[in-house]
Amino acid sequence: MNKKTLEETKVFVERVAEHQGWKVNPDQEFVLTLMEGLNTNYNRYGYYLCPCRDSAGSREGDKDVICPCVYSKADIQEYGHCYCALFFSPAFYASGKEYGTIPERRPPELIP
Amino acid sequence: MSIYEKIPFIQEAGNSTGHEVTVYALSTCGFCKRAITYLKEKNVAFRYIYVDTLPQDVRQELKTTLRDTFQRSLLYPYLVVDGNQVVTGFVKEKWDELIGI
Repeated sequence: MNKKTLEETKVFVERVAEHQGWKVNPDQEFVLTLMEGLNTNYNRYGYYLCPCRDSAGSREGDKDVICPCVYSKADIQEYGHCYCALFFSPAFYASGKEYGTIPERRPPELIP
Repeated sequence: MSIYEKIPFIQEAGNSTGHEVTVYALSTCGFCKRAITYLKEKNVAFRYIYVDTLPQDVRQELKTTLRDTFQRSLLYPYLVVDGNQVVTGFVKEKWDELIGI
């Protein structure tokens, strides 16, 4: 498996944001933890497992929480940011509001 | 040997709040890091473990035990106070209340 560097993971995050029309959380220290987490997960599992969720032990079990997860659009629409607070909506980004823990949208039966 | 004895918890020697505080976290997660940093800043005595760094068999046994004991989804950070109260997610007010900060 090819390993990713932190730099490659940063590019991935920026591309996701650009592609989806989102903004990356401007809190650089917080985002660095998440980028390092994504990078660790890629190099552990071979895909960008959400850094805020544990692996089910298989790609099949993790498929809904591979970044950007299937819940991110709805969360960004409802709360202004994704579950991890990596991605913000442009409006939330512009508002300067404080981000924080939001409810888990993933169905309990899928949580390993 | 109980599952808890197999976990290499990291002990933080702060001031006891009169409660036994355990945090199950992911090493990759921003709110987990924020929660642990917060408890350290408040100088709370607690122990924590990064669940994602445990060997797969221990990790599964731990998660099964936690789920069976507390009947809650494993969301991180997962706070257990006095072995009988749980908060999932870092909601500071709830953590303060339960831990006694």
